[in-house]
Amino acid sequence: MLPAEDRAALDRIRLNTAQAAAKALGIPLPADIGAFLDTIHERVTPARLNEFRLAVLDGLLADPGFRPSYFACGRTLVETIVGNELAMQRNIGLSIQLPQDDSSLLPLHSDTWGSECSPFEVVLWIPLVDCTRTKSMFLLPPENDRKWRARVGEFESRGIEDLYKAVEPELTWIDINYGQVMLFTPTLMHGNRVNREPNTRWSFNMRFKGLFTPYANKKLGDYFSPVAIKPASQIGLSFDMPGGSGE
Amino acid sequence: MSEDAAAGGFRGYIVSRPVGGVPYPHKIQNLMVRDYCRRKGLPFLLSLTEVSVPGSFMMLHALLQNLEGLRGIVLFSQFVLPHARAERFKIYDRVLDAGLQLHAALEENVIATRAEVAAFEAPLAIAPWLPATPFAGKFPAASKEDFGL
Repeated sequence: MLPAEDRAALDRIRLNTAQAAAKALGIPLPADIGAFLDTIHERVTPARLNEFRLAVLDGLLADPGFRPSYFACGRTLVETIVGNELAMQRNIGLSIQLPQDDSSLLPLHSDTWGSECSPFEVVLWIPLVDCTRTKSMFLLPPENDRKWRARVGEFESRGIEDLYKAVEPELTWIDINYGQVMLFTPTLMHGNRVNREPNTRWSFNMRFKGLFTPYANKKLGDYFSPVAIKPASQIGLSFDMPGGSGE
Repeated sequence: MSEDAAAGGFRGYIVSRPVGGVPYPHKIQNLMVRDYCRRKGLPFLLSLTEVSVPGSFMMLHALLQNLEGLRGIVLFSQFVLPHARAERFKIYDRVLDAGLQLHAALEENVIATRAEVAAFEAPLAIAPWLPATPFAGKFPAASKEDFGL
């Protein structure tokens, strides 16, 4: 977890998100953006949440500057952990978690053994509001994850909630403030629970991976696109052998 | 001629071969192309279906020779284009010279100007090299079956 590398880029993302939210609600943008996002549950019901979330995403996807700004918030961190030739998720992962709402939870899971992700991916997680305790997300630390991953088969017939209860004492809840970014490997078990705090969580999650590392079903092209290619690779990728001999 | 065609529409293009190793049924490809056109506000014209003969682009070439009345082409995926880079660039040139756009529904990529060719092309240029990277570029790691062994 680190401060956003490009704070102006993060502020731009938050402003654009708030503007898209205000537009979706048909109201002028309030002066205090942080308070507006924190209290969005006063304006959006759980029944309307997904429709609202998709409207906000439509607004963000229309901005070609979103992905470069997002990358700028954690570029050095990603390059340090992953490498400097990178693929970045094309779509935007946006979580809006209203207080007491149990309709949009992400149960305990690992993206690698519980989804279609490559273990070479990392997630750059960026909150737009201060997140603490159940307003945030949880992670199972690496050494604990290794231990419980070996025992996941024991829960085959008991279900994921039983696995959650088993690992719960070992989970780490992430306390993170607006202005900070977090990078984590989604190979670790993680997720969220009902937000029991008084305010709404807003957070983005975007995946990055080494451009030339193994892809699972989230493939280059439809899910990932190159975000950093070095000149030597560009030369190599477009190199043609000489013609006219040996043919 | 339909109203869409009269106004200039976007011709779909689907294939009868696996795309990126996945054998998408025509029905799924058509759903993807139609949905993409609807979301982007592109007047959709019935898709052409490429023949299943490996390496053949008979239908695509026919389409490129008769672009009159079109505003563009919507490929099911950019990975349906020929593997040879030079062949792909001929297609980009043909479409752009005619003042048309080339869309890829699955990847939501588009070439409307020459400046957009490089970004569109990048995944296509990288993908053939992935089998030469660690784990043959796949997770789980490639098996003997992936190589027909």
